Formats: sequence, structure tokens, C-alpha cells
Amino acid sequence: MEDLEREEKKRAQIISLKENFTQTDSNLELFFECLGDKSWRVRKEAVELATRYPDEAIIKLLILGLSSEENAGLRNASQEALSLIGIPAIPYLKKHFSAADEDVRKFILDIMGDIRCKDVCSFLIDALNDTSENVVIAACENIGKIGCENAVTSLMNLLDPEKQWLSFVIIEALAQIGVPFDAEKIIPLFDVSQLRKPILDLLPLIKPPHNVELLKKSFSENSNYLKINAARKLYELFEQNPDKLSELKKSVKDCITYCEIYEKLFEPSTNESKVFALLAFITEDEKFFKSLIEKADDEALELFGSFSSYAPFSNISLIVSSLDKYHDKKQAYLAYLCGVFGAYDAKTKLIELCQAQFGHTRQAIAFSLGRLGGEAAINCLFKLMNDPYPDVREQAVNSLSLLINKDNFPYYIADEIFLHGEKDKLLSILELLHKTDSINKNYLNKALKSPFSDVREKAVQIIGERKVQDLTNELLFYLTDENENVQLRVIEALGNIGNKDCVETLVNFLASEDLQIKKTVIESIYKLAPEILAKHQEKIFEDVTPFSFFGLLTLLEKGLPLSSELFIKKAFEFDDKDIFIELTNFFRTAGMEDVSLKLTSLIEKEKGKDYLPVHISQESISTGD
Amino acid sequence: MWEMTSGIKLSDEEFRTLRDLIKDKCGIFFDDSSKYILEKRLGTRLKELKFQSFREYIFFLKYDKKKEEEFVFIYDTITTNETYFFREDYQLKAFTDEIIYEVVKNKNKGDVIRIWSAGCSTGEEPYTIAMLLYSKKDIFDNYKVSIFGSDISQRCIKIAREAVYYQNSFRSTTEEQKRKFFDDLGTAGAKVKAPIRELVSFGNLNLLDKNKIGFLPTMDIIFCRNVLIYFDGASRKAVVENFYEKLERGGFLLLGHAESLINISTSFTIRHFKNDMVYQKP
Repeated sequence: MEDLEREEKKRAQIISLKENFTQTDSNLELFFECLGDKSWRVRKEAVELATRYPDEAIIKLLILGLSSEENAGLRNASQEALSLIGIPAIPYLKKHFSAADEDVRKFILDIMGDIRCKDVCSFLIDALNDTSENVVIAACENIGKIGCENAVTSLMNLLDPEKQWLSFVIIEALAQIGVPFDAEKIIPLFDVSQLRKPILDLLPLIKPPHNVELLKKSFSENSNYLKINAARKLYELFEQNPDKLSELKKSVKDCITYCEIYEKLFEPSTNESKVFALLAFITEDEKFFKSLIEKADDEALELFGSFSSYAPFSNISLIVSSLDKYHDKKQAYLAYLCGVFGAYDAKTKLIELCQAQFGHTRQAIAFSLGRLGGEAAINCLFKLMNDPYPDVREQAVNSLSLLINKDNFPYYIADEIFLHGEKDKLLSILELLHKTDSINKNYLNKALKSPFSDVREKAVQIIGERKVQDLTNELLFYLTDENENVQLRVIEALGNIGNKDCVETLVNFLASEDLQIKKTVIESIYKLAPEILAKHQEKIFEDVTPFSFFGLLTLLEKGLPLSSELFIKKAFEFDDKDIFIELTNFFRTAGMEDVSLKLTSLIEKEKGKDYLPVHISQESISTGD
Repeated sequence: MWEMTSGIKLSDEEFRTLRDLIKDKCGIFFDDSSKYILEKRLGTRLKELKFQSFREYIFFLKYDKKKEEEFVFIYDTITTNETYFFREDYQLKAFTDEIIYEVVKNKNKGDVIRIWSAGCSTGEEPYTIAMLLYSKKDIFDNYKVSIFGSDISQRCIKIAREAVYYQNSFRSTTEEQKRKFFDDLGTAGAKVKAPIRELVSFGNLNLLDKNKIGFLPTMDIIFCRNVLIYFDGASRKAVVENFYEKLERGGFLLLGHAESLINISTSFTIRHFKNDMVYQKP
């Protein structure tokens, strides 16, 4: 009870002092007394007072408090207050440092670390020469905390296998500083078992060749923990510089041998199958590869394939021999790898497999044959171009387009397909002829006459893309095609071809009720003759529904010259609040503030001031201003 | 096989309303004697759409969002598609022996001869024209030929694009012509050979649709045989006016043997050839 009363009394005193502090001897005495009070509540108020009035007298008392040997509360409160005062305290701390005892020097360095001001880095570096190892350790810790980049060399010079704790703290500090460094001196420390983990953590910062040297050491250790962490660091190194994968692979390949611990990388909790994929790629080892195929997720499998962009994979037989061992998805993946890794030995096998039941396998085969090339591959790809599965056909076309050109195109195959006129085959061959620049008017004309609207559409699309002027008049017939997609493509193609004679024909479509047609024709006319578009604004807005109204707005947004006046006029015809709001918002977000302002004032005039929601009308006004 | 009737009766008033709707849309006119044909052909459709009466169907045609699609169906149902290859050979002879030479008189080598077969039904007429020109080396080797076949019926155009025909279409085709221009598909009919197919484009066109006709390039010759008979007077005038606008100066309009422009148009002049009499745009 007595203690409580005392504490309350003291607390009341220091709070009162804090509220109305003047620097008198008695006040300073009371402050110092409270700073070392046995009640933490009282000390807390004293710390607050110090941070509120951080003048010289207060700071000196705080430094004095640091030296208290018998009152830990006073030391801690002083340290806390000085840290909170921050930069203004630094000159006093520096001044007091050399005269202070070992503990106080350590406290001072910790306070400097807490202040986190880089100005003290050189002071901390000097402190590395302190006679006390504890002070040196504190300097290291606080150098790390602040991230003093210029301290790296000094820290490295202090590394000593005999002084494990100091070395550990230095390694931690180097990790915190985070700048790459030359770590020749670190290598011998790796023999100290307690230091291996922190050194390994440091690996991404260590410059070559020492980083690789450390990795090799880690993979060669018996410790499972080190092995798996080395694998993770290896992946980090790859991510840091993928272009160096080839060198990395050469350096560490022979140091990594399969062991079960690496399977942990597949565990859902770690989700590091990509790290495993890298190990499999680097080692080219059968056990790694088998586990990868059987356990890795799609992302890791894809990554494995992508490594080939950075480094070669020479154990191709590993992939080829696995082709028969798996089915469906895994077989498809292996077939894909054959192409990615340039497994020329796999070509015969792939061609044998091109009748595989699983569609993705055939698709992967089509992909790989495109990369492997050769006459047999081309023949097989032409067969795959007739596959029932659209993705396979598309891939076959893409692959063929890598292997053939207009000079070696087997036109007899195209002729045969056009003769029999099957839809899917026609679509594929058209695409292939187009992609290989082998298409001619004859094929396009044949395709236009196809009974399949998809084929006609494709032909029109190609005519447009290739700007085949000679077929412009022929295209006009297809404006009457019963299939709207064909019509749409024709309109688009006419715009692309750039024959101005077609503009008057296109103008007829401007009033189309079909939004897609209306939009396409506007864009085509704009490409051909923007001035004509300006002439036919009224026609564009004829019979516009609210739906197509918004469709037209997207064209305005794209910068096509549509009349904002007519948009406003149409909105008043619709007389719908939502449309007014949308239109106002549209003009504003499109940067047409003047039009937006005009619209809101018209709405206010016609509909009254309260018609639009406040935020709409106010935003318009503020934007307008 | 006889055609089943739906059992839904078409009253005189409903007939007149339906007839007018169809006439306004596509110009095809049904006189009073055709009431039974409409009742029979559209009755099945009513059942499919779950309508109890023609009155409901008329409302549907007038006001429903899908009315345009339904009219397409009606065209397909009510139009007769009676046609065959090499029909009315005397007129075709006039075309190949005389008219085509008149046309090329005003052309240079390499120019395009454009011919429109308007209301081509399932495509026999435009393919016939293509076959005839393909056989005329002096024309075919010196000029580009572009034939356009159009019909109001999407079903007919689909058949025309497929270009596969059966016995009925070959009533005026000789064996030699069949061998020359068709691939025999056995029981699956005969398909027009690729080089002929490649000369003909098709489109879906209502001959009253001035707007859509506007998309077409101008023509040297228009065939419109046995089509105008389905139209009422006003629609015939409108169709012929469209033809007039679409023809080059000096271009020819070839109508069916029972058709003439009397009371329809005085814009054309009559040209008498050895084998036929045709209309020409002055």
C-alpha cells in the first residue's frame, strides 16, 4: 500500500513536471530521481519528459544514467530516452564514448544502432578497433542494423575462425548490409560447423567464384540440412542471373548427387518443386529426372523446359528413353521436351507416336517436330494438320510454318485439300499458306467459294491482312453473305485494303442495327477516308439503341471523330437518367471536360438541378473549373 | 408421300394480313388461290413454335425481336425452288453467241465480265452461265469472269455453295455436259467441278433491299429468269429499278420467257438477237 502511494505521488510529481518543465537544479534532480525510480510507470513518464525537452542538461543526465552500475532501471530508461531523442543526442554520445567504461560504450553503440542514422557509420567502424570484444561485437551488430555499406571491408578483416561468435555476428551483419562482396576470407570459416548455416544464407551476396565454391562445399557435406539449403541457394543464384546457368551448371554438376532429402522440395508445405527442377536440369541424373516427371507440378515442369534457353542439356537419351514409360499427360510433356531440348534422336519415336490417343501428346509431338525438322517431320506434321483435335491442327500449322516457305511448299497437298474441300483441312491449309507467305489469289478465290462460312471468313480475313487489292470487287459480293461474321470480316478487310472506291459501299452499313457491324464499318471508313465519316454522323446515330450507343462511346474513346453533340442529342432522346450519368462520366474520364460541363448544364436546365446525383454534378463543376 | 397438314386453320382475314406482311418484306405476292399453300406450309411451323392460331403467329411476325429470323424461315418455306441446269437453252444460246460479244466490245483484254444471276435459287443458273463461258475459249482466255448468284433463301444459297445436285437438276443436261462439268458422287449426286465453282460467288439478297444491292459492283449482264412472276406490280417495278441502277450502260437484263417489262419499266430498250429478245440499258 505504501509503495503504491509513493508511486502515485512520484508519478504525479513527474507528470506535473513534464507538463510544465523549466530547467532548474531541483527540477533536474527530480527528473533524474524519477528516471531511476523503482516503478516503471514513473520511469516511463521521465523518459517522456526527456524526449519532450531534449536539451543539453537532460542529455547529459541521460548519459550519466547509462553509467549506473547498481540501477538497471535507470540504465535502461536512459538508453531508451536517448534512442528516442535520436540525432540531437549523437554528438554527446560520441563525446562521452572514449571516456566511458566497456558497458557504457556498448550501450552507446546500441543507442546509435537504434537511431539508425547512417552518419554514425564511420564512428561505428572506428569502434571495430575497440579493445573490448563485446564492444566490437556491438559495433558489428549495429553496423548491420544500420546497413553501413562502407563497413564491409573492415568487417571482413575481423573475420577469424578462432573467434566464432564475433565471426557469426559479422556474417549476420554482412547479410543485413546486403551488398555483394568478395568473400575469400569467408571460405575458411565454412569449416566451422556453427558458421555454415549463416554463411550459406549469405551466399547470394558473395561474388563468384567463392559463391560456387561454397555451394560445392555445401552439396558435398553430409548434412541434409545443408544440402537442401544449398539447393535453395543454387536456385537463388540462378534467379539472380539466369544467363549464367551454363557456367553454374558446369561448376556444380558433379557435386550434386541424388538423395532422398531433395524429395522434401515437393512437399506442399515448401512448394519448391522448381528448385528440384533445377537440380534435375543441372545434374541430368536419372533419379532426379524420374522424380521430376512423376511429382513436379506444371509450373516446375514448364520451368525445367525453359532452362534450355540458358544452358544445354546433354543427356537427351534420358528423355527419349522415358517416352515409352509414360502415357497421357506425362508422355505429352516428354514429347514436348524432345522439341525444347532438340532431341533429334527422338524424331523417329515421335513420328511413331503421332497416332497417340491423348490429344495433348499429339499436340506436343507437333510442337517438337517443328523444332526438329526434316522431311519425315514435315510429312508427319501434314498428317497432324488433319487431326480431329483443333489444338493439334493449330500446332501442326505453326510448326510447319517454321519448316517450309513459299519456295519449298508442297503445293500439291494444298491442291488436294482444296479439291476435297473439307472444312477443317481448308482452314488449316489456308492458315499455313498465309503464314508461309505461299498463298495466292487462286487459293483465296477457291476459299471464298467454299460452302463453309468459316472458310469464307478466313479467306476474307487473309485478303484483308495481305491487302489483296485485286480481290476488292470480289469481296463486295460477300457483303451479302448470309453469315454475319463473313460480312463483318469483309467490312474490316475493305478498311485494311485501303481502296477508297469502297467507301460509298461501306457507308450503307453505317446505320446497321448490329453494333459489331456498325463499329467495324466506322473504323474501316475512318481508315479509308476520315472526311467521309464526318459527313455521315447523322447516319451513324440513326436507330441507335442504348446498347449500341455505349458501343459507339468506346469508339469515341479510341479517338474516332464521332460527334459529341449527337451523343448528347441522342441521350436526351433516350431521356434516361442512367444514360445521362454514364455519358457525363464518360466525357469526364475521357478528358472532355468542356463537353461534360456542357452536358451537365443542359441536363440541369432541362431536368432541374436535383436531377443528377450530387457527386456527378459537383465533380463536373470542379473539373470544369 | 403427301404433306401432313397441321390442322390449324387460316381465316381469310389472317391470310390477307399474312400475305401483306410477306409482300411488304420480300415482295412475293400470294393471290387468293394461294391461301391453302400458306396454310399448309406454315401450319407445321406454327406447331413447332407452339402457337395455337395464325393470329398469334402474325403478332409474332409483327412485334417479336426475332421477327427478322422468322421471315428468313418463311422465305425458305414458301419459295419454290424449281430450276435446273441449261434451262431455256434458246436464251442461253443468245447469251453465248451474241450477248457476250456485245459486252466485250466495250472491254479490254483482261477486264472483268460481271454477271448477276438474281434469284438463283439453288445455284443451277449461275453454274450454267459459268459452264457456258468456261467452254468459250475466246472469251474465257481473254477476260476475267465473275458471276454472282443471289437468292432470298439462305437454305437455297447453302445448297448452291455445296454445289451437289441430283437427277432433277439434270433434266436438260447432256451426258457430255455432265462428264465435263460434274464429278460423279454416285448415289450422293454430282458435284460441280472446282474450276466452275470458282467462277461463282453467292450472296443472300432480297431483290427489294436497295441498300444491300448497293454493296454490289456494277454488272454487265443480269439474269433474272422466272423470278418477277412471284412479285406484285409495285415490287416488280422496284426490283427492275434496282437492276437498272446496278447495270453498266449498255448492260443486258435477261428475263424468263414468260416475263416482260410491259407496264413495269420504260427505261430499257429491247434488243432482238437471233435466238431471243432481251432488255438493254441505253
